[in-house]
Amino acid sequence: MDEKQTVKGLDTYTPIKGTKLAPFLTLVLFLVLWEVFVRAANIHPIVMPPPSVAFKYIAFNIPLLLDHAYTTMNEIILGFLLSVVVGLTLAIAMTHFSLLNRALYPLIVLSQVLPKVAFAPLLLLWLGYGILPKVVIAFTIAFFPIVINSLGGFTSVDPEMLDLFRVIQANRWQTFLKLRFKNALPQIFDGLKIAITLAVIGAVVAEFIGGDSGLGYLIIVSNSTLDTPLMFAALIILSLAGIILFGIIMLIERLSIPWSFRG
Amino acid sequence: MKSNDHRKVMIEFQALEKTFRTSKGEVHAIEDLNIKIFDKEFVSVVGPSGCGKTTLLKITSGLLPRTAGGVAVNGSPVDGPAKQIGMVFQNPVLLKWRTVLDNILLPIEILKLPRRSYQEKAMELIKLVDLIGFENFLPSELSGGMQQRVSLCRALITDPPILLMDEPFGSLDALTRDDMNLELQRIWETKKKTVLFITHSIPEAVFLSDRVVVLSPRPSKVVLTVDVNFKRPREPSDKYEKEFGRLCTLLRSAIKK
Ligand SMILES: Nc1ncnc2c1ncn2[C@@H]1O[C@H](COP(=O)(O)OP(=O)(O)O)[C@@H](O)[C@H]1O
Ligand SMILES: [Mg+2]
Repeated sequence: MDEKQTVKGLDTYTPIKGTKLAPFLTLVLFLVLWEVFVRAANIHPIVMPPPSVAFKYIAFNIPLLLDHAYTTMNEIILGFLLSVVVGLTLAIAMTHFSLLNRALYPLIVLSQVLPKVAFAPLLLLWLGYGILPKVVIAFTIAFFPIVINSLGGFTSVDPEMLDLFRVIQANRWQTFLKLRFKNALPQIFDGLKIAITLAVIGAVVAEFIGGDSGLGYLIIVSNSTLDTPLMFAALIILSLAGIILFGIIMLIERLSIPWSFRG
Repeated sequence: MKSNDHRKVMIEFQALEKTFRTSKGEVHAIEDLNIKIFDKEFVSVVGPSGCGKTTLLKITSGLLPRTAGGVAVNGSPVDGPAKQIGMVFQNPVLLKWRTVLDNILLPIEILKLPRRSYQEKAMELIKLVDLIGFENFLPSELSGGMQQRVSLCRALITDPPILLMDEPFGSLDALTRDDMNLELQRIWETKKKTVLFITHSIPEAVFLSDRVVVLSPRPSKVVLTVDVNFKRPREPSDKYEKEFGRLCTLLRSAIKK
């Protein structure tokens, strides 16, 4: 059958050589420029340390940094997971009950436009100084893109597809699982990727305001003592943590929606 | 077709009315429409675009409520989607994350029937529409014609006695369309279903049907019914017969009013 040949022909897309190295190379280039700039301009390390000094600092303080990173990671991951559970549940409920949708949508938007930083001290007052307020603050920022994206994905289904599901006598739940949810997955993952970066910001901001450990706490403390290399070390570890978490979500995305990664 | 009136009536429209109420006012789509379709008959409906053909099909399949009049399928009034109807839409509407085989088995999953016992049947249908070797392909890896054949298999998997088709080949090129017509004729000969087929192609309607019904512009009612008595199975060359041309001309002039 000649149709088979056309099908094979589809898979001729080949990436340009070195595409995978590109992000790595830009990062190295950035670090080299930073190093050269700081040294050439003779900037004092308290103002801005060169990356070599920051990395040396990291190497000598690994246990301390990992200890604080562990705290922050816990807050980020718990806040993120909470936002996934709450965000998806809200979106599912709002998809199926339009009254709920109309009632909750403005509240959800309101919860997002209010500056969480202003409420953080109050949250600390209510929830104490442990991990809980940090998780809650990370959650309140991160759940927004999950709700909005999931809701958009669940409701933007081709009407002819919905007709098909009615003709084959699917009930609401079957239509949700086999059509709406699958259809929404690319949008949900976009939401998750934004949410994880917001969870990082949320946890760190919460630590700024009322922490006694974590990378955000380290940043604030080092800032007040002008220990700039420590601050940069904490920032570098924090960025690494954020990138790793983002990468994990991208990996899960590729594994769970292979059909949207063809060609 | 008086001599055929003893046959079982599978679809019946009786003084059917349909009016859409929208925020911009009322759209009177169907008015006093009467058609009887007999068991294992192939009936095509043609008519100007926007006259209410899709609406008619959606009412038949229970997707839309009627405003007045009666619609009966297999003797009972329609009050929602029913198992005895298979539907082929204008677009293939395949789930892009499912393979050909899994798309065909979707209705089986929804009805919670044992997948195992229908897998063989699905393979038979795949063979019938000439898609062997493609059962594990994704829809995006198939041509438009192949996708529409998959959606035909999906409509046939539960073996419904009635098949509703809404301009299923409308978006295909002329050559593919002719192939699909031959294929549909072959499938209809093997499966012997009652088919209500909507098209805007008059030659397609004549080639496939036992009877062609012409609808008027909105609000649509029947303006002409033509019996097509060509022997079956029909050959592509039948389209060049004088009688074929005469029927097409007759229908075309009826559509213009
Ligand atoms: N859901 C709807 N609401 C309002 N008007 C509709 C709706 N569906 C169809 N119509 C109107 O009914 C008429 C017939 O539509 P349709 O059945 O799709 O025509 P056809 O399939 O013959 O091209 C059109 O004028 C269309 O605008
Ligand atoms: Mg139509």
